[in-house]
Amino acid sequence: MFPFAFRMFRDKLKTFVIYSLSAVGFLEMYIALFPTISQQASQFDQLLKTFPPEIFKAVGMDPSTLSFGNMESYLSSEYMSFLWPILAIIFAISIANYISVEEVDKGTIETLASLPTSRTRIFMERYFTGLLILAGFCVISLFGAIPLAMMHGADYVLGNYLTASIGSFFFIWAAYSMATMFSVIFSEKGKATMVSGGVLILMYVLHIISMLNDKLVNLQYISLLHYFNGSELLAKNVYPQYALLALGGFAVVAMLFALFWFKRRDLSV
Amino acid sequence: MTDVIVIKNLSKYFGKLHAVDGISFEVKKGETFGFLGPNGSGKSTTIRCLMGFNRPTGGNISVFGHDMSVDSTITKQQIGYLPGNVKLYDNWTGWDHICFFESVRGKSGNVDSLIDRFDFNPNAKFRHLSSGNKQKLGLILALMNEPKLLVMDEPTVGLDPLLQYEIHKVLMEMRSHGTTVFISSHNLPEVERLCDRVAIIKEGKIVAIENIKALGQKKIHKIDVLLGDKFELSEFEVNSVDKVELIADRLLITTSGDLNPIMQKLAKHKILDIEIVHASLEDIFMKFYERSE
Repeated sequence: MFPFAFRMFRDKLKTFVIYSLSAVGFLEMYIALFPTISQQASQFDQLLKTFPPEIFKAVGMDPSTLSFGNMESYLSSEYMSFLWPILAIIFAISIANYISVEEVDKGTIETLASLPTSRTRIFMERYFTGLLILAGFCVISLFGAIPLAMMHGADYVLGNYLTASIGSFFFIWAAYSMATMFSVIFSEKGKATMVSGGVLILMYVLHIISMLNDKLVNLQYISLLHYFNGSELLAKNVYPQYALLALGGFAVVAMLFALFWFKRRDLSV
Repeated sequence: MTDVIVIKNLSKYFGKLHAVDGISFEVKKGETFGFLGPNGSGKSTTIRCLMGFNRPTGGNISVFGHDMSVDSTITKQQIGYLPGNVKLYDNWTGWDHICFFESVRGKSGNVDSLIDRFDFNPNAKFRHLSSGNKQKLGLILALMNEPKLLVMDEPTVGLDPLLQYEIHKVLMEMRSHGTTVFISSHNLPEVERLCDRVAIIKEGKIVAIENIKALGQKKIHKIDVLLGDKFELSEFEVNSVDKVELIADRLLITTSGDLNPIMQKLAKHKILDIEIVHASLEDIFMKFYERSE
């Protein structure tokens, strides 16, 4: 019924399992250490308070969420502020590349395009399958913490993980749509990956600059990272609605642009 | 006969490069139409536009009466496509490809017989197949839904003679069953053997569209003579002569006209050896190319 979706799922299953297991592996590593760390939480918290606030700004962390007293705050600083976004972005770019540029680069796109089906169908089935895979990754890589917490006897707050999953999904959706856009624009996989990664790194740099320099504070609005605060999501269980709207709106516009471009571009190069 | 493919003023530009520049031709139902030209002449670009892979800069392509820029989905149900150097998915087996094609095109009734016929192992992954077996899989995928139109872009390039022969046999069978075949090639004996008509393309423009029999009947002869006395090349440059060459002491005269004036000139000399042959399609092809320069 959905041959392109089914095929994509089969082709990407191994990657999905590898990324999801890697995320769960990192979670296990952090959660296994948590009971020991939480016993010395007050000392760690005191130590963190001695750091100048600019250090936290430079790595995009909110100092108010930094506490090792509960598991959500601990994971938000150790896992959600840096490691999870990196893992998720790399995975999203790899899925986005599958939609177009990988096939154009290898020449296999001719096989797809010779079939009696529209480009819109190929794109849509693949795009939404990719999105579903990423949603699965968000769920496993965040809710995976709960059985591990139970295993290690740590306390957890379920609602925080739900908020973190939703907020993270919107962020990764936006990054994925942007990478999809570059996947349909370029004809070489290396170039598409480099540009997608480069733009996200640039956004990260702009985000940091805007936090460190008050004169450049408006730069934050052009960075996707401004709308995603992984540590706030998990530690405080809050997420501003405008952020979801901004990420979702960007994702839809980028997806529509990618579809428009995919329909009109030369597939065989 | 109705036209299966109608191409009108097709052009495809890549920046300043005019890969295809305003070509027009028709392919009739049931015929095998050859598309001849050297590398870079615009054959593949034309086929990519025909199949909807690339968007034309201008002009119209209609297949089975459907405008391919508007409505190619239904039309492609009836088209089998085989490129040279088939590119498929490295990690999929032959069966994976066949099942995937069936899931889009619908169940095929002849897949097993095609696998038997080509002695193909569908359980091997594509990346483990030899180039010949890769092409066999491409052929199976192109033929598995018994298409009414077969589009082939240099399908035998790099294949051994046995597989080339098998592909030619399949094409001749398809033709006998009324399938229309559009085949691009620069293999002239292949085109001569298979095609009813040919279009010759050069630098993106059609230089000739000819019936293959009419091409063969063109009075192009090659006269290869060894003379035993002195002669001047200019002696033989009479009106009907296209080219006079001296190759290793032998005189090679190419003519597309009356032989008698040449024979009269030759009769004035001592002839040690002479061979008169009809020009091959290759010579005719070259003649078209020289003429259009």
